[in-house]
Amino acid sequence: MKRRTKMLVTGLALLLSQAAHASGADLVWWTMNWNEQKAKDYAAEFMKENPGINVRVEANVAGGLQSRILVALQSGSTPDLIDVQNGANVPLAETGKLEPLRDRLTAAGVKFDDILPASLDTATYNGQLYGLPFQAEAHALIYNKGAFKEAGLDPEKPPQTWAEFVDAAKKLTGKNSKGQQVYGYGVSGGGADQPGNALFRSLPFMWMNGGGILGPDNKEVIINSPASVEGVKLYVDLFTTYKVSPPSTLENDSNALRRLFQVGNVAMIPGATSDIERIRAAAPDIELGVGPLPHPEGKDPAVILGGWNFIIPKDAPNKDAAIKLAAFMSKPERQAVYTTTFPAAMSGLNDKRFADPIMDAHKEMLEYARPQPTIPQWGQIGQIYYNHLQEALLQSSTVQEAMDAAATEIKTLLSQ
Amino acid sequence: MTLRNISPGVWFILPTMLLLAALIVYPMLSTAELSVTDANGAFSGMRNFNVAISAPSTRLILFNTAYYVIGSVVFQLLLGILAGILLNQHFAGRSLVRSLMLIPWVVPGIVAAMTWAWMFHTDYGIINYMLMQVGIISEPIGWLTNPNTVMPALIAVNAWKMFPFVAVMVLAGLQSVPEELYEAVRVDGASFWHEIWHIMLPQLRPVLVSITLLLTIWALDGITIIYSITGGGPANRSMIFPIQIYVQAFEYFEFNRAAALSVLYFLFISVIIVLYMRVFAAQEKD
Repeated sequence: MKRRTKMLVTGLALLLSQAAHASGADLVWWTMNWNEQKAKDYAAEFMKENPGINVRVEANVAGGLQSRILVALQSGSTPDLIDVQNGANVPLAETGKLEPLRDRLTAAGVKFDDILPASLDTATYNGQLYGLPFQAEAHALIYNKGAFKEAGLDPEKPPQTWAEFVDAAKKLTGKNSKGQQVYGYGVSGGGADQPGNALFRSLPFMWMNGGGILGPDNKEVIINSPASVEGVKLYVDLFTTYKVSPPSTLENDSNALRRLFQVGNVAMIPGATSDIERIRAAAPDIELGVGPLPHPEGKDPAVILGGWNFIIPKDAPNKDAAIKLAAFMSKPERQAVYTTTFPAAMSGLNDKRFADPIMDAHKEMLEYARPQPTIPQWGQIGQIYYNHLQEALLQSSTVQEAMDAAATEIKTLLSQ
Repeated sequence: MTLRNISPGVWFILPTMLLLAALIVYPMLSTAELSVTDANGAFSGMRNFNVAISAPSTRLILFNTAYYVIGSVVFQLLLGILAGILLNQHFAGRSLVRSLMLIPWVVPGIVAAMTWAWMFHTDYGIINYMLMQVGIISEPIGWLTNPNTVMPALIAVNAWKMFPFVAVMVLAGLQSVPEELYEAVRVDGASFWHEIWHIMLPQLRPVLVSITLLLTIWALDGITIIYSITGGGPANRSMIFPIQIYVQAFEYFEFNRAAALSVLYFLFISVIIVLYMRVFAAQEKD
């Protein structure tokens, strides 16, 4: 009897240790839900090349991603490889829970000189590299050629300068021949995906004009400088003064704007190449045009560099295997498939997937793309700016007053 | 005292007490500790509290929280009592109406919130569509984006969501009122209104006192509806305290500041609850 108990216990212990062992040896890769199948395919290929490593792919959704990663990092029980928006890379690195990657990835064969330098900047904190960019994107102006024709505009000539842009937006606004109300441009001033959506659409207006939220060293606050205020004012005026943005502006995030574009309610929206794909799938009848973002007369366009990076937590149980997998995924031809927009490895752009001329404007904008300031407080600064941008859109204060108030709050934040 | 001398009752409640200690007392103490330390765990005194209180939006957020809680509770009670009294009457299809009325309460909060957000939408919401069809308004109203309508809209959603709960409780309370009381006042020639005022409401008093406390607590910590409909916007016009705590912790990663806000909010709620118990629970004994 005693012996039997002993055997049972031993057996159970063995079983448990096996189970624990199996889960500890699995390399866990947090991908995004839209990339789950691709990640699984690559994981299978990787496992074939590296017998002995078992990769388990787990899919995340975008909402709340950053906090989910943060909780995992803080708890110490982490996945091994994580896909993350490049804007979240530095705030996550600030926790001190990410593995510095440059030396180990270089040893594993990653060619850093092929990766877009601005993308690498999004992963750099205190001189160390804490992420491996695999996707890079920038907005361009997506417009409805049919609406351009109805408004008497040349559908092959999207507006280049701010003056042409305002003029086109005004002409596009009104009832079309079917009696449907059309608005020239979709300002993003609310909705779920904020402050990100509003920031991506309005900060370029400041940058192009020589302004911004922070100065070049990320210490000086220039959000209420004349150049910045003029940029924000144009963005706000599109809704408040020119009335070329729909009444629902304060509840529209990028998804809402794309839906309004798809039903012909809005004629111009800024967006990435992934937006083109989604619009084509949902509204194949709309004839799409794409142009660079309009810029002030005699100045260059500017745009925020978006994209995704791989990160590896310091506490990851399978760091070595994760480095291998990241190096495996860094190959330009794999990035070209895995990305939903453009690959961060520039040679990957030669892939035939990106040969469609409709992507030319987006490629051009990539050259003008700048990373968001890589300081840990950036998330809060974005929220402060967004709150005051909404004040201006609500017309409860002038743009100058709103940006003055934002500047005061940001300065307080930076001094804490 | 040996183990033997401890009353068996203590042993019976011990597991529960330990569980409560682990799940309630420990997090509370941990929050209190976080609130007086910085991100590296070093003691920082009242600094987190100062930063939290001096934020320019604090006053607006406090006002919104009070507005939301009072507005929600008043309308939840009003609608709930009315519905409860109505459903206590005899009419055909009563049990069907009773079950249908429960729908808002049964629907998951997030589903209800998203549905209302769409219904309130300025451009393609059904509320503006219907109002414009009937000709009540000529321009779409930005229910969730106009600073004057956003809080009333959110309170309406919260009242709609919770009034069935009040109605069910009221209904249960009314069914325990002895029929003799009604008969007695009817003999005296009382109207239906008199029945409500002099029999139903006084008999419901103990039920209403506890429901009000529950509703207040739920409104104070209810973030689902506002967070998923407006996220506190536009420009903090619908931001309430619990959402601000969540945003500080999980969007800004300022756990210490969030902890300081939590401690403040805990005190704020405690004061309200104590005052409430003083006023109503005390009268109960009279």
